[in-house]
Amino acid sequence: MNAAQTDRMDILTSSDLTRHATQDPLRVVGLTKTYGPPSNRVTALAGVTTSFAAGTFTAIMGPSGSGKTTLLQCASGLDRPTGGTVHVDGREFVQGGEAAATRFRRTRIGFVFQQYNLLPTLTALQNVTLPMRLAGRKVNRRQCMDLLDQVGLAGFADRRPTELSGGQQQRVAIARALASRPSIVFADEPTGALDGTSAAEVLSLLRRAVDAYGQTMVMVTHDPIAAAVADSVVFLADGRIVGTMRDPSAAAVSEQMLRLDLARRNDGPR
Amino acid sequence: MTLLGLAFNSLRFRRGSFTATFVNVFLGAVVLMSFASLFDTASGVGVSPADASSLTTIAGAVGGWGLVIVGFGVASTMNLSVRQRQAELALLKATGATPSQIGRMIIGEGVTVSILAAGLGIVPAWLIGRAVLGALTSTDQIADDVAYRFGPLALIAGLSMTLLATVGATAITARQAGQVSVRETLSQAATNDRSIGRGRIIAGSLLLVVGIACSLTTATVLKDEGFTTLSIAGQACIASAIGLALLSPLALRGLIRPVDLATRSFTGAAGYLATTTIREHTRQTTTITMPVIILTGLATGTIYIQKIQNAANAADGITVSADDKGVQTLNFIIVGMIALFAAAVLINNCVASMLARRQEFGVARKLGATPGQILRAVTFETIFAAASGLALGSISAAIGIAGFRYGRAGSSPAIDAVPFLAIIITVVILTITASLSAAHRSLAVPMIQAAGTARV
Repeated sequence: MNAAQTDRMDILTSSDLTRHATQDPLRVVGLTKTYGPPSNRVTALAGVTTSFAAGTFTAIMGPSGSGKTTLLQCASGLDRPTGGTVHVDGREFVQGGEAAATRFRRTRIGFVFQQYNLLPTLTALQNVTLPMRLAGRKVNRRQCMDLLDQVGLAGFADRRPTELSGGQQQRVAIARALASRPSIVFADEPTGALDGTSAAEVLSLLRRAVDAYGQTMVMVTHDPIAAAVADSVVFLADGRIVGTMRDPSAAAVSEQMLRLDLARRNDGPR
Repeated sequence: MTLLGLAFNSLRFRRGSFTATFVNVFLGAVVLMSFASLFDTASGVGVSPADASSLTTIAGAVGGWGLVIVGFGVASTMNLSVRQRQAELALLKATGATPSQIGRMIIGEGVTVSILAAGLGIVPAWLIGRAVLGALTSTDQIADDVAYRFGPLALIAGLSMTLLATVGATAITARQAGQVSVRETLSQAATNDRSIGRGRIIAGSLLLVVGIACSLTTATVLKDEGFTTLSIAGQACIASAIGLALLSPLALRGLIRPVDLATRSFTGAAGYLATTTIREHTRQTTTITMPVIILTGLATGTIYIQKIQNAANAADGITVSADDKGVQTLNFIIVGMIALFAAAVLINNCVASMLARRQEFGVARKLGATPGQILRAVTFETIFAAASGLALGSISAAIGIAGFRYGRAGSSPAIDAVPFLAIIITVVILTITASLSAAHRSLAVPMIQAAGTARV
């Protein structure tokens, strides 16, 4: 069986709807996203159907331009897909106006961004509590302090982002993502701006959130070492899922990425 | 040379933020040149010494404070636009530009914009200067045969002063930008908006003292000196207004706490965002407060001082001469122009600061703020900035008015609230419209783009 066949087999399992996926924290069906005018249409997502089971850690990988960030943005409600549906906890994501979409996602979805995205005017603790304040929920200060403690920032609650290192800022962002107890946390290249040590700390925190709290986590990354922390890896190329890998190792992920790059080069430029 | 090329390049790409500076410099240059041209006219052939002296007095009266206010306005907008570029400047530093190279680049940009703006101001300034002379001759304050001249003095005053203001403001900002480390600036928005310079506090306090002193003189030594009393009272308003504008960050810091406590229960997350922004980015908020103070102080002061003068004249049975009428008209023209300039600075600063916050808004939106919450936060900030400015501006006007009113003893005319209310409504409408429409535009960008690298 050659590599292409293995990949096709994996597509079938990843979009196997018989597995009662309707109750999964996140399910996307036939997700498409295109940009530009009809004459010069660019397809970022060409119909992605997949499901993420509760308490699992999934990494999304693919060559640049494969649509992995677009998938994250459309699945998380940051961007509007052109077609297809997103279901969070079995409920369909309402693709209405921005306000409606924001209200839907802010209590259900947590985010960790590559650029941390902490508000510079707020302290670490205030940044952690912000999504709950915005959602008009009661802020549980004690719980947020505990979270800061767990990400190793016990004494830093009153520091402002500019007074923290990149790794520390990202750990504040992780505490913020977990604070509202969301159904799913999306991490977009969470280690992309960090050095090796800080990256390892951030990855182990994400892993611990999955293991200790049963948090469902979806992470976009291009780093095989980061992907190896996940339970499974979904590979994307040209806006499609082209394979999945369970219990990934950095070496196996690297190899698969090389294969995808090679296949793409043989196809020539799109 | 390469850096000058870079400067031109960034001028082309950052048209939005340079428009603000351009408009301010243009209007400022028009105000300065139109009145400085009266000096040129005074030095013309065949102008009688009496006429020459009247013209120079008028030009000087406007020149002095007009200069300060124009400088102040240009500086505040320039400062705003440079501070918003910290990240870009940090990138330049990271790629090896020295602080002095960056300083030269920023100043080069500022000077280019200023020369263009001041140059374009020549024709309108010529027209307005001629109209002012027309007003003076038609009220018989100046002989009819005095010919209007727009000459070297007008050009020198207009160009050199606007350039000086630009270079001064950019030099200060460039120095501040140079002090921030590359790491700090590359991480998000590291501008230290919390610190208020000691020089600023000293200058502000001094001007406030000057304003109060002027007011006291009109009430005592310079009592009943006619036009002089009137103009000193006006200067009391201007000096106090500029003084309070300089001190306004302190006032905003002091006020935000009680306002926060009083409004917390019903403003929710929007109020929370707004109060933390005001507290941490006080200087950004004061770019709205300061022009409001100048506008309110000047307009309120002039209108009420003139009203008191008119009422006192009527009470004393003095018939208002054509001369007095002329002085009154001129007074309103001068103040009208400066107030117009302050209004332009106000609109500019509101728009420029909101457009530049696109990225900040984008981040808040990603974290779960709805566009409505952001607009409410912006409204809160704007109303707070405008209300504080109105209060401080009213105080500066009151300083000038109180002295003058006491000086014109015996006359205590009933204060007619209509003009004051009109000023308040104008300021509120200007700030809210400018801020909200700009914030709206910032929010029109899809959030995943808005949260990326800011380009105004």
